[in-house]
Amino acid sequence: MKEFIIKRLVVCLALLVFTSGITFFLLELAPGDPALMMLGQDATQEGLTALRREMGLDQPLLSRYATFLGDLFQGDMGVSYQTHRPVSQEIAATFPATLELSVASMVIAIIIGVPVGITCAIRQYSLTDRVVRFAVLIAVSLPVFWLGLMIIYLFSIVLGWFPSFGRGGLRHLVLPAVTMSCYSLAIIVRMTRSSMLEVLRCDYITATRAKGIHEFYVIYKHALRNALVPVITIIGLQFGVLLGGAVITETIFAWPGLGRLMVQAIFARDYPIIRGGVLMISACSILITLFVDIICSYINPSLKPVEKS
Amino acid sequence: MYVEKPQHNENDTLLCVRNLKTHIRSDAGEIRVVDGVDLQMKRGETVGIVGESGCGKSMTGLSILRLVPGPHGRIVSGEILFNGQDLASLDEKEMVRLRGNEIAMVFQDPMTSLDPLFAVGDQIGESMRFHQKLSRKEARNRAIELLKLVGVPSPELRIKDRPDQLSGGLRQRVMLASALSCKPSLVIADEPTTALDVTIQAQILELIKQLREETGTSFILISHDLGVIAENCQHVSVMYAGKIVESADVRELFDNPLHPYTTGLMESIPRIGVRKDRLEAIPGIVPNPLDLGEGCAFSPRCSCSEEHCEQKAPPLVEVCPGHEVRCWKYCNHL
Ligand SMILES: Nc1ncnc2c1ncn2[C@@H]1O[C@H](COP(=O)(O)OP(=O)(O)O)[C@@H](O)[C@H]1O
Ligand SMILES: [Mg+2]
Repeated sequence: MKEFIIKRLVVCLALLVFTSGITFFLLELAPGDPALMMLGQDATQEGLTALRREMGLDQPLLSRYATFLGDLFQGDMGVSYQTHRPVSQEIAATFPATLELSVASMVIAIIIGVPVGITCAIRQYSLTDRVVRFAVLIAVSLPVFWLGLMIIYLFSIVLGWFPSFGRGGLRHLVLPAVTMSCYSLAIIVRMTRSSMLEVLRCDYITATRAKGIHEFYVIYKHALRNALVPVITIIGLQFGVLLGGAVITETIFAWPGLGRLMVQAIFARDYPIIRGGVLMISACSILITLFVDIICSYINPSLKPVEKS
Repeated sequence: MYVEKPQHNENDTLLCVRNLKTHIRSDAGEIRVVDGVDLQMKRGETVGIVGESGCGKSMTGLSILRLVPGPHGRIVSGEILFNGQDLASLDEKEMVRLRGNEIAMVFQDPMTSLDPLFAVGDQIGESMRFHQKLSRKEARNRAIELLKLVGVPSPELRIKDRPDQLSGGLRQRVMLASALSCKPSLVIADEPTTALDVTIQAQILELIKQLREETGTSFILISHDLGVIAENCQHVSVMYAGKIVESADVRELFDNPLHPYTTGLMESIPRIGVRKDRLEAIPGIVPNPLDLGEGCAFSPRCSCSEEHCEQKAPPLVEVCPGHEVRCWKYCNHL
């Protein structure tokens, strides 16, 4: 197992280098000139050239990528064009807020989604099942920005229960977390339901019932464990989506997270921040995938890497 | 701690199924998968149910345990008297107490009827932990004993294996060990050897025979193979399209098969020493259970079918003591 994890970590590292390359070159393709953005429209030609040299933008593309990669391995992600503070500092200042929001959303989605999915599977075709399936259909097609605005309107403006912007205690977390969890919740309900339905049709479930095992254990011990691998996989994927998708929610709720930082960086052509942010989110997604694989191999031992004896 | 089950005298009736009807609702209509089945067996006896695939054998077995697949399947009518108690009207809680404890079931495919994620030792011990409230350790020790009983080598090691680490034959032995764990008085074995190789098949049948003699457990042996039934049962019921079409003691049935379907099945058994260029399969296919007409369900495939066969279904009549058949040919005295 240890050997497997080390191997996987090496693969993760390679993936990260690959991602960094893609981010780097795609940003180069994007229109806009960072130097021009910094100096404004009335910049002189000399000023621009000087600034470009200072920022290293006059070097050839590949050599700039090499420098970037070299710095990256030393833990240096560059300096923000806007604030002139190190990217690592900017990320360290905003990432905890994003993590808090994503984890809260994920917890909501899992705590509600898995039991609801199980209930629907047990009572397939019942009224509950039909209502939930309809709700899921609506939830996956609602645009997050619209949902966020509606939630703010209802719970913050009309009812006045929760604050609508900023980060603070638990009360500040509620509305953005609920908004952000909606889509993942629907996906988790759907996956849990279909995975449970498939398992419940299996012979070994009938066989377990025929042994006189109490229905509660049939469902929560045997069926759920067998149904869990696809559910956990989708939860892992959704977690990555949440981290990356925090951009919209954070902007609507003025949540001081990485997503909002990146939106601002995109408008300002602040390449180092964009690269740093993308790398941070990719690193998290890749680690989550690794983590999911490890959990799944404990749930289903036949997924464990074969050990050489 | 171990609750002794009530002892019954040797010759009394263990199971008596009367007019059992199980229907499954589908988009195209109500399927009568079990359509008025009667079964009767004494304690210690082994009864066979034989018929082609799809004739409702499994559903009969599942109905006895009240495990008809929901939400569309349900027992419509009938009595299932087990030790004189009607299972059809028992509440679910009592039914759970009875499953695995009084009546156990072995399923057709050992590859798919064991939970892939749990060690086989846990799965064997599970029903004992529920019914007899054994501790984890006691259940483990009993599981080892049971694996020894069903002839699994080095059971102390095997109990930790998951099903995918065992061969098909071993898995079916595990299923048998699990079924026998609570000393049930009846085991329903639904095609226990169909999914296995021929040599393994013979071994498992031999094992069932040996277990029957050692434990005195009654078996309902379900098979599509009359050969399997012939060697292992005292009594046979032949099933077609959800109905019992012929029922007799094994010797009587083989010496004197009456229903054209039974003779058809017999001609399709390969026999050592009898040269045949090809086995006679019964012509035609199992009818679609949705559009069974008013008449005898077998009449479209029957070589002796006459006009009235297609208009009215024949009743089950007792031709001689203990030998019943559902065919117009034998109803002339009515
Ligand atoms: N879940 C189900 N839904 C609809 N029809 C079913 C279902 N299970 C079985 N059947 C039908 O019930 C009939 C009897 O099936 P079964 O008892 O499994 O036959 P056998 O065990 O004799 O091969 C078949 O015609 C089959 O099509
Ligand atoms: Mg069957």
